Amino acid sequence: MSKIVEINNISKSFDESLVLDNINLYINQNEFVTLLGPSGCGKTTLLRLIGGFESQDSGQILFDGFPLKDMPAHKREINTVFQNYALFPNMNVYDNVAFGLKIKKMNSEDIKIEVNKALKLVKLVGYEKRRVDQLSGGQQQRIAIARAIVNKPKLLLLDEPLGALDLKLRQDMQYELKEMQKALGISFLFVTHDQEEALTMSDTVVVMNEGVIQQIGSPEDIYNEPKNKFTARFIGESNIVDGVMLKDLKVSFGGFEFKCVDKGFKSNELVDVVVRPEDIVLSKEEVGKITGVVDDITFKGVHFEIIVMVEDKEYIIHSTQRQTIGSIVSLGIGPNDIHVMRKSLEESK
Amino acid sequence: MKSLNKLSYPYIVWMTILVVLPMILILVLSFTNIDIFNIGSFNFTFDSFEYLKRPEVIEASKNSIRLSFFTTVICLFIGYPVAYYFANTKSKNKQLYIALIIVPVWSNMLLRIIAWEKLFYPNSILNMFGISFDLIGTDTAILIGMVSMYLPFMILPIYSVLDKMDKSLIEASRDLGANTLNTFLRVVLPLSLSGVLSGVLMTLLPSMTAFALPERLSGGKTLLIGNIIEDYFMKTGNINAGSLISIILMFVITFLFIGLLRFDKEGDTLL
Amino acid sequence: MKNNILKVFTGLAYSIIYFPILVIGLLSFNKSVKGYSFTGFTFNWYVEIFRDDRLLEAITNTLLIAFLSTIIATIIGTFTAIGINNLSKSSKFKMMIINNLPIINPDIVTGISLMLVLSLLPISFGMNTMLLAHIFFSIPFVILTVLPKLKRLDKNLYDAALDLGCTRLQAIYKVIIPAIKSSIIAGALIAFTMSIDDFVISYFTTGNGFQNVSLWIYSRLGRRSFNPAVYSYNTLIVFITITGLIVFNKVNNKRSLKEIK
Ligand SMILES: Nc1ncnc2c1ncn2[C@@H]1O[C@H](COP(=O)(O)OP(=O)(O)OP(=O)(O)O)[C@@H](O)[C@H]1O
Ligand SMILES: [Mg+2]
Repeated sequence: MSKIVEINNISKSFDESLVLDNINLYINQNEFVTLLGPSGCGKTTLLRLIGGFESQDSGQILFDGFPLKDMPAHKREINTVFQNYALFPNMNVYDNVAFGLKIKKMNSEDIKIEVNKALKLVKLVGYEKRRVDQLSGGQQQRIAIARAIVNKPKLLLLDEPLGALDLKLRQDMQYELKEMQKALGISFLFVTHDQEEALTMSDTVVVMNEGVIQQIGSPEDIYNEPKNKFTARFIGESNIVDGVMLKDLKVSFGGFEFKCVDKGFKSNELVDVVVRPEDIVLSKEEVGKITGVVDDITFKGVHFEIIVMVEDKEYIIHSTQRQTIGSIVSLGIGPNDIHVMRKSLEESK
Repeated sequence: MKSLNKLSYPYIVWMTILVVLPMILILVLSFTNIDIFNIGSFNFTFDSFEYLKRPEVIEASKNSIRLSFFTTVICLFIGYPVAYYFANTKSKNKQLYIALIIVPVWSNMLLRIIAWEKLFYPNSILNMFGISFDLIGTDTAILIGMVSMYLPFMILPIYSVLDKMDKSLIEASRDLGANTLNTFLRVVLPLSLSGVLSGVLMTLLPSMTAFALPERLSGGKTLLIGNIIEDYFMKTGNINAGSLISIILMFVITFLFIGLLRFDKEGDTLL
Repeated sequence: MKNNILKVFTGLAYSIIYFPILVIGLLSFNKSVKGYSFTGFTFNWYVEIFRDDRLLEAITNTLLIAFLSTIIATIIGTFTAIGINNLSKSSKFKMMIINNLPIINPDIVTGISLMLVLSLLPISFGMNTMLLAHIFFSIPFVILTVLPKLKRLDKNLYDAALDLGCTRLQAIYKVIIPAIKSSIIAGALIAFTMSIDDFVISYFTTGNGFQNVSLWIYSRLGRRSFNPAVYSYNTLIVFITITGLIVFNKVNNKRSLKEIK
């Protein structure tokens, strides 16, 4: 697979504050890449650099192998779906979608055909004459998507395009977008701060925090093998406990020794241990297992969320079985469910 | 996006030449004896300050303050209810009503002054209705004239904040048990303060510095500070003293304006 | 009850604002030249507008200056406002203070300032200087009207236009300007209004006998050469604007009625 975009050592600051810190990233042709991170971590800024609306302080961006630096935004074969859609308020739906093609001086018959195709894709045929401010938030978002893909870019940048939708429509659109991306055969760089969205849609997830890339990997990797505490916390709920790596395949935490599948640590190295809530099995009090008191229980639709206090440490457990508050339970954790991470640098200092 | 800010650069140059430069010029003129039409040697001097003690200047300052104060108070007293009415009316002709407040500005101000002037003499066309005034030279004449000229500038800014105000605030206040008067005093009035302040500024300033209006409606008896400046610059050639008075006036006004800005962080409620 | 009090105040406001305009209207049909009494009805002063060359010239000058200064000030003001809107918050604030200075400065000080600066330049006073002055005092009003609308636009609108293939210039005239059209028109109307009625600033910046209507009036106050035809001119202007407004309002109401249906 060839790389469509390659980002090398990009840094960017606004008024002295570093917003992007040495970003390295590439996107393959036909790949669905998601930028995932909390609000203010620099996702939009990175997108704006690629789109050409902002310029980096250092580093370079290659598009199709050529540096983008001196190519103005309007010449890039990249289109953007903006965070608040940025639809043109004085034009109707048709004129919004047709805008890019008109600028390229395509003849009006062809424009009609292309616009119709794009509107079909976002399921808004029949809305051509509507004013954009008379559309619902979800419809506006779909117009913004249609307006971008009608230009057949090689890369589509989407800045939280599903933020304003309700859960049902959001899930539908996630599916639609994914289908669209496969059908069009173009690369998507998709920004979100919703981890579930990132995991369901992407080929590759890029986790960012405070302008630094924390981890790049497939959704499974990111979920099962978080590289550090931030990623583990940010991707799904998890129990993160201090532990000691006794030797390869042997870790100790919560006062007990466990078998695990991790190796390559120094002996007796201090580590973070991650256990996902759904991987813990609760049982009646048993000797030789971590044991605690059920502190709280909440019904979450499909499962119960159970908080168990083990000494002064909270464990979150997802289980389909109800427990009574105050009862004493033991926690069963298998070797495959334990994930050991190095402590991040600043913590070990 | 970033490059768009460059569009404002020419304006900075333009404003520097036409606003900042003349300010410096006026400042220099105030403290020297430069002859602007024949710049030769000159000295720094405080001579112009002597003019400030002249009876005509003191009298004109007093007149300016008194007349502009009363004009503003009357305009506010009439203008606020009018603005409130416009902001809350459900009439479909609302836009027309507001436009009709502005239209008179298209009618020449000097002519409107002349119209009042003609009415205030004992012999006027009003005689045919059996009415006769003898007001020329009184404060009443000037106040009526000024209110008539400047009232629109009080109504419009107040209207624009009242109109933008979220009507649900009033409902919320009612909902929380406040009566009409309390709602008005505690919710509406404080929120419309920035409009009131720009309205006050927009009537106070022009009435303080008017010169054609007081000249006509007082029969030349009541001079305002504007008359003094015009007189010094255009008639008696006393440019240095005229500059000093202008600078003082600008200081007073900037002071008032900064006072307004404290209530208007965006800096754009002037209209 | 409360509403009635408000209506009384509104009626009072209209009366005090419109009274002199009605009087001017009355004088425009009055046979008497001096206008101290009503001596008979005549249309003569309306014809007289076209016979008094100096007055006709002043009227043409007024309209010419108003149109030219409005067009130029609207263009400059709109582009400048787009620029100001993209400044950082603190520079924007400083810009707005400078922008508002001419608005809050008394006309007389503005007039004198311009006179001083222009007298330093190697140009003679007349139409050019007066036009420049009118452009100068109109721009701040255009900026002040256009800026709030710009602020309310989506921040990415310009970028979206670039993204879809516009050059910078195209992005401005195909996207930004159409999106703020209504406030540009409002700004232009204010500029026109300021120009057509100006006396003080024109007084200080004209020369070589170049007169607009205000200056024509001022130079003839109480003199024999004061021609009541100017009352007719004024009445015509007011009549045309009010009629225009009422028609516009009717059309608008009809249109919105249709939209509801
Ligand atoms: N034009 C700018 N000038 C100054 N600071 C900026 C500018 N744009 C962004 N920033 C700052 O850069 C940081 C990153 O902003 P960015 O918009 O990239 O975040 P984000 O990850 O997209 O957040 P969100 O999820 O809330 O959209 C923020 O602290 C923001 O305040
Ligand atoms: Mg963002």
